[in-house]
Amino acid sequence: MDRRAFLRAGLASAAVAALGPRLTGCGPDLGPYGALGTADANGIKLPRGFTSHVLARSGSIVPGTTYAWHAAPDGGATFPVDGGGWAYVSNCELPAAAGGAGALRFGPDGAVVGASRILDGTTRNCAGGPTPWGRWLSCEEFDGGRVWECDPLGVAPPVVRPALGVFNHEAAVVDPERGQVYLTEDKPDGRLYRFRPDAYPDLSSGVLEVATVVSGLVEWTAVPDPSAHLLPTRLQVPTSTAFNGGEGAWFADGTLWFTTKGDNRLWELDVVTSQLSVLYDAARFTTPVLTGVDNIVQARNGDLYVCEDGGDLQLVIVRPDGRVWAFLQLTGQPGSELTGVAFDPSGTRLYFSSQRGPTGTGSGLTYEVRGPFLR
Amino acid sequence: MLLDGVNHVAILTADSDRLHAFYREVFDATVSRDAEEGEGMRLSFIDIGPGRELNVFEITGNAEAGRQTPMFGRGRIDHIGLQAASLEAFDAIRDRLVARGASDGFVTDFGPVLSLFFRDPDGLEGEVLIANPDAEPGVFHPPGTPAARYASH
Repeated sequence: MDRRAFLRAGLASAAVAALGPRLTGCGPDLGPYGALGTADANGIKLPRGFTSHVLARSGSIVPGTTYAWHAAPDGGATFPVDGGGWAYVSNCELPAAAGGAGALRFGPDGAVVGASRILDGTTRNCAGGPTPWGRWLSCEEFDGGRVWECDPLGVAPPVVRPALGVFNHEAAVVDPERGQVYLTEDKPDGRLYRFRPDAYPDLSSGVLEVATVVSGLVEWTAVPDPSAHLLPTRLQVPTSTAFNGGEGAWFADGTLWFTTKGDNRLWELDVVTSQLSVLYDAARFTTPVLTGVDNIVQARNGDLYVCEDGGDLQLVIVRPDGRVWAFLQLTGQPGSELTGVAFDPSGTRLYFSSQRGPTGTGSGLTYEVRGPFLR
Repeated sequence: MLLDGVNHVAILTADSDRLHAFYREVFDATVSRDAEEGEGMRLSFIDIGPGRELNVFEITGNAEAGRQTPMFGRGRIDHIGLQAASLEAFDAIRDRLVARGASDGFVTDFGPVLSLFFRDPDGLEGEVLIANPDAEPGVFHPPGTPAARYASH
């Protein structure tokens, strides 16, 4: 039985927390890029052949633009734009209607050619997700939070999507084949949701459903009141399954991956078979490489890159076969968290942010890493 | 000064009863008038302080209350700022808003005032304010500045 099959079998038996022997780290297997080097000038430990530089600092004008980069940079994604360049959007997780999102725009050579605000006056925009139709879903993380559909270039005005539910949103990712949206909820008893639009890709109306896990299989039930006027969405279907702090999510080829920070797990849902399994569980390791699981992105070769919020501030690779390696580590910023991991459309540049920077406040930094990424 | 504050703000709602309940349960506000104003129009007054009202219109077929835009994209009037009766009232309002998921509970220290943002059941943004007991003369802070007395709450 391979590792994934083993984990699935264990989940199906419902003995999730007690699965298997406690394993030790990754031993001498240093992964596809080898060991991390010493910290570079930005305080980042990278494998040989990779370099980092700072793209933007909160409160400072992005060089070559007129935009002062936002505070508390959080979830992010890239979008190709006409002319061969691309944009990197980044949420701003400030509270009390001071949040929103901003974007960097790159030319075909990867140089910054513009930056702007694309969403303003919203609250605690945490993660979100890119859509196949070129929009950024920006998720508000408080109990009255909603999802905003944003133009990465800031030309079209943002549109709120209350049909996707009013709750403590974290991430939202699209299954383009079936025309559905999966959403995570960052509460200790958060739920996993699925939104079925009436007329995909129009997200203005549809059915919001919540997941119930039965013998390792996910079943979906409509949420009676997505507006949560009288009762939080997570409490409206009593049989639905609680997930301990839903965080980042990614979707590709019929598979949804999402993390839960309360139990340091990376979950994998086969949306065709409805089989839910645990791809990574820190509790299985005496010295886990990955803790504080947060935002996720998938590289072109299929590796999942998981940000650490806490832990030892690493960006960690989880291969879909279950192997785990650190890819980079941020040093000298103990009060921060890694956020907004995304690849450029070519898969050769990786972006991420340190949300709170060296001071541990909202003064964050956004970085680019270049190198021989497997594609 | 020939003025004495704001008399009323007129707002549109999709559901008068729901909005009345929100203002009653969060702010202890009262509804002083509630009547049909011709066919398809309901007008009610929510009292939000001495001589200050929200004039609430519910109009059949009018979908304005469902049109949601983020701050600074809402036309010439952006949001409503309500004055709390006291710091104790401010705290009670905050607790009630957070309990019903209508606010993230973050209190901004703007310098002279403390501020709390909320959304009503129609999604209309509002703000509750109270004089900052910890204010320093001439000192202002930008949005996102946490109020020290609420930082650990």
